[in-house]
Amino acid sequence: MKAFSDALPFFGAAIQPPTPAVRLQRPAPPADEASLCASALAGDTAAWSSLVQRHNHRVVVSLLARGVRVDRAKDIAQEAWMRLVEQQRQGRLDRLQLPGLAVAQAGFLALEAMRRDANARRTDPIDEPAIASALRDPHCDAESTLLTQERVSHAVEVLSACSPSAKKVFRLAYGGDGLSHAEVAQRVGLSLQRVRQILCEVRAKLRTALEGEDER
Amino acid sequence: MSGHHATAAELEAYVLGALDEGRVEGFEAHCAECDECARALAGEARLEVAFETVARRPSRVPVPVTRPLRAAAYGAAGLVAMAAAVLLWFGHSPATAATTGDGTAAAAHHTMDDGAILDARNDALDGG
Repeated sequence: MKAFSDALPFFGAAIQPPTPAVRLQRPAPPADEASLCASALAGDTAAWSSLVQRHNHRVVVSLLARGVRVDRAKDIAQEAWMRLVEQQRQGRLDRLQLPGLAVAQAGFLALEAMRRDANARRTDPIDEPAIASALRDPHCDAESTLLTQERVSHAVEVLSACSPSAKKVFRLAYGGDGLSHAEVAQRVGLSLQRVRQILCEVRAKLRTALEGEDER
Repeated sequence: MSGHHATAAELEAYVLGALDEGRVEGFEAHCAECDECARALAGEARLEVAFETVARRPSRVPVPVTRPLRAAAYGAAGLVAMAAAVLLWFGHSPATAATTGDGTAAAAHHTMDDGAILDARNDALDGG
């Protein structure tokens, strides 16, 4: 981790634990996402730093959702950013769509690490269940996939029943553009507090829909 | 922090990036060691990812389905209605109205003749 920070100084900020500044209380960025991406593609280290700070927590959460432990998730997220920077430096990156690209890169690295671990264990003539467990991707279980799809559909219906302003706020906050709550508030013309209140209400409704009655 | 399990509020706050800065390190250290909290954190993170899936999925809006046979039937009905309207219009045209007027006048005249005949018969009967 220290080596990463030495090689690319902006990772020093990225590996800090997520704070409210990462997503909730982040000050308005000096530039919008598109210009930051353009600068990063041109090799601007400061732009990369801003993008890492902006999206790193989202990448870590995506790895946690895959069942990766938090310490490992942070390492993999960092490695994913390193790979993206390397690709940019080698001229192999013509577009930068974040956080999707970093999430995909991190997911690939996580799967690669799982396979590597499984192969390492395969040399030991023990613990077949552990190998199967390591190779098992929770997203590939057909039953759970169907159940998830069903619950997501139910959640979509629940969201559809919300007020137009609540739907707009939720879609802006979770639509994948990586907008902070302050940016959402600015876009919809509401106060930050009101945006958070709306998100809290919608999240509570969707949580119930997604978790299902059996888990309550 | 490493001594007690993560609460639901802490899990949610961490995933949102809203956990107090001073508590993050201890939270992560605990979740890295505790299977139960690691599972709970993974569940919370999956929920967050699911929220994004829900936000990106378009709402179900009823899409009007075009049925060819039904559309053809409506078209034919429209043509028939237009034809009926045209026929009715020409049915009340001035020429037809004039013809009808003459017929009515003739009928009225004919009725008057019949009345005169009846009157004459009555007069004859009275006189007779």
